[in-house]
Amino acid sequence: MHVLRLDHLFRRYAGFTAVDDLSLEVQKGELVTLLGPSGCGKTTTLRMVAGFITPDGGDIWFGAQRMNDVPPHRRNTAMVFQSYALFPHMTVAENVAFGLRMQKTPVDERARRVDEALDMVSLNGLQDRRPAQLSGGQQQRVALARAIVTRPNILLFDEPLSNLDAKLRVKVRQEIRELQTRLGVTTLYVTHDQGEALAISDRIVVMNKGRIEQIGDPGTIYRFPRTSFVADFLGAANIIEGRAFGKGMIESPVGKFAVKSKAPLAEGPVKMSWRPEDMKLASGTSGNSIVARVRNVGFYGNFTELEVESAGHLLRVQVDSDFKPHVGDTLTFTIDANRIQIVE
Amino acid sequence: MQASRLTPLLLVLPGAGFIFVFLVAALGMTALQSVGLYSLVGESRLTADHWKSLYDKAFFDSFLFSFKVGIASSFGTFLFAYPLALFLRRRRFGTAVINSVIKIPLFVPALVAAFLILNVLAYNGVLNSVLMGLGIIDEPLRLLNDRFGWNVFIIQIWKNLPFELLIISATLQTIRTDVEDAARNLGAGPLQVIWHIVLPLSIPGILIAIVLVFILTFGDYAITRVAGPVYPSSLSVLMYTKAFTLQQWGAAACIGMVITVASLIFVAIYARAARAIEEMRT
Amino acid sequence: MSVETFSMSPQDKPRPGLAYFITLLVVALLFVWTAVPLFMAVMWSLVNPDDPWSPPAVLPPSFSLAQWEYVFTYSEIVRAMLTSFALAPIVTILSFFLSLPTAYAIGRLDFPGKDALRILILLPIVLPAMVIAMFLSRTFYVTGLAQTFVGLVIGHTLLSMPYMLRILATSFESIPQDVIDAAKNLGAGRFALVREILVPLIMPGLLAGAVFTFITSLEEFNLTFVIGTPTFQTIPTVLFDYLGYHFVRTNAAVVSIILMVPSIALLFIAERYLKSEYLSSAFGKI
Repeated sequence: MHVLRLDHLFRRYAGFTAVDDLSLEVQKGELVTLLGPSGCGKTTTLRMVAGFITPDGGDIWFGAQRMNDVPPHRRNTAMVFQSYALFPHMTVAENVAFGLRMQKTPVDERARRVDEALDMVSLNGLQDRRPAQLSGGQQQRVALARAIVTRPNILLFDEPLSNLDAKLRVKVRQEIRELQTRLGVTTLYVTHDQGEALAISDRIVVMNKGRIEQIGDPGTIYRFPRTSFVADFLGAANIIEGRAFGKGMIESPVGKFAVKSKAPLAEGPVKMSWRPEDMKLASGTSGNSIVARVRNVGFYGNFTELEVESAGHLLRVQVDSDFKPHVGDTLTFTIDANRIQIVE
Repeated sequence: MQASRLTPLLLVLPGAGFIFVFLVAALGMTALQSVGLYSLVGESRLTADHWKSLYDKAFFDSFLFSFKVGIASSFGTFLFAYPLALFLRRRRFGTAVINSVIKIPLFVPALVAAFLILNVLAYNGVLNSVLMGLGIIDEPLRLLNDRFGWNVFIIQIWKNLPFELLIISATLQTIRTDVEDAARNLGAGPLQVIWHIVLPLSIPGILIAIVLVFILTFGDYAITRVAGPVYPSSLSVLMYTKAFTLQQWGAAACIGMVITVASLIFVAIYARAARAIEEMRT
Repeated sequence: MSVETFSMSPQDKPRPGLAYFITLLVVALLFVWTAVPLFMAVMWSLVNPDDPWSPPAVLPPSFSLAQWEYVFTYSEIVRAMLTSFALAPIVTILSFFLSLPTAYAIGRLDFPGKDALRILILLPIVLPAMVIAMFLSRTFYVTGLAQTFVGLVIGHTLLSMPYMLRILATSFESIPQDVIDAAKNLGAGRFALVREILVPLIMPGLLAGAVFTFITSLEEFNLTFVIGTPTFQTIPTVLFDYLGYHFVRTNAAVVSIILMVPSIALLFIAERYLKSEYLSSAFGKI
């Protein structure tokens, strides 16, 4: 049975709908990420699961229990806040022990589990420090330890890495994922960072304006986005409108393409999407070719990204970093038929 | 927090309710007595006589006196407080000491402050001793009991300087240093930064400080009674005299209304300035 | 590549001489301005009655505790001190319990009329004290509370509570919502929330508010003078006596010091909690 089920959830505020008919099931041990731009409703959804916000419509189920009217302190969820929200007047150990005290865990067991939790986040020895004496990364680990020590039903993360610098973010997200897998705790994770979502999730729920655009595992979502929003939000995408005219062929301003789609392609207007790294430099005239003029060259260290123009459309291409074209060069590219997605 | 509609009202009741009840009682009584009702001497009837009785030299002189002392005290304090606040902005080696020392008059009650300064300025006070000792004067000066009310003025400045200083300092702190840096970057010298950036941005705080001190000094009783001239007296002293010495409670109530209304007008100015600060802060 | 030296503006160039001198001057002036009046009061309280002090002497020729003895023996001061130090703690405790729920509501809840409420709370300390004193006393006269201890308690609380309320409200407001949410999330029900989170985090503000309220009650004059005397004397009313008709400088000096000592002592004890943020946020916000 699912651990968490959101059933046609609605949440409205004056003038707009923050969460619009959202349904989702999360299984035991999964790490599901709610991904989307700010204002898409992901944090509102998370806070409804935690119990801080009441849904205007729909139900929240933890297993077979309907949770809509259960107050936050009785839900057995644990949340890691964006601002960490450590109790400033308590030591690290007291912070971590707080949930256990609320659960009325006996004192000696409490101490043992606190040490255990701090050990898991590599903060053993800092029990007596105060939050103000810790670095941002350390505070974040304390927040994490405080959440996992209570062995919650559902672990909730509200953009926990946004206050860390870039390199630390990559390191810490790996540690969070490892910890989560090791403990097997069901987790709902909110972020706007698509790289983060792709790296650690079992499944990603892409949200936009309160609605779900697509749910799937990272590979599927990245390879087979269903809408132009999803295509463009996860990684970069080149989206071109064209016309399908039968047998998997599409005519477009930038060229003629053969595509391989699961369902047969009906005739009529379509939108195509492909990734910059899927446009390769053509050697000779192969099918699916695009001729374009270089407008901009950007060096990114491990690759070079070109902004090219074809028939008035600007496209982004990723090429090998050794390749150094000049602005104004005309180049020919090709795309594998498998790499072209039809999106809504 | 999704509490019931009633919760805030219930929570607010003890504190705000207490203040409301007794404040309304006091001010209500003032209003009623000023129009002749609820009189405790003689009969109660609605009348404008008490108000008419104010139309005399004593009242106008007192009003002018109180007003003058209020303006002089609040602006005089400001003239000292603002430069000091500017000076204390940057942490220098003396600022901690200054901050502690400067707070002291804040905790000295008005009466004591009056005494302390009178003591210093008196005929046989330390000021005269020092001036005579330095040979600047031959005979002690008689500084007290002048008609202008200089003592009151000096006492009020002494007492209220830390108060204005704290408020202005807090306001100055809200001015982000990067705004000043931008000005300096664009070529403004230190005085220009103060004139064009700091001063305009600190105006709400300045207004609050001046208005608060004005209200306090305008309606003051204790200090003016002890240190002020016999004539004209401050409005509050006049009010007290009319009530307790002359048993003219109706007239006293009218004076009370005048002081209250004047203060309320200034409270409104204060509220506007405070709101401006809130807007600036966000 | 040539190395350019940029000329520094006078701002940046370290000039220990001038800044140091100015700071020293300001400190000295402030010290004189603040401390000399206090010092003189102390001096006058220690004047030897057999060895009079007059200009051009800057200090009294000899010291004695005779003035203190006199005041304690022959004046109302002991009774006044008892009254003052009985009133102040009662007023502080009463103010605390009355203010607490209101401060919570103002600090953490949103409701219509909040702005007007904040002004209402400010009024007792902003409106002319003598007006409130005189006409509250009239109301007390009618209701039989004049010249009573209860009347004094009510009056003092009316005038001191706003400080406690505003400081407490600021304290409540500064608790991050996240911290409260985290506590709830980890299982804290209403009581646990109050006990574990709210009370500890408002403690500094509470102490600051208590100090302010206590001192305000100790120093309160207008209201006590009108409502309390002659049945009740407090230290300020005794001082007023010595400053008015019976102006005896030495007695006034003694009573002034008696009045100042607790205030200044509390100031230094509370210096840790009494950051200027409390005072100015109490007044700067509407």
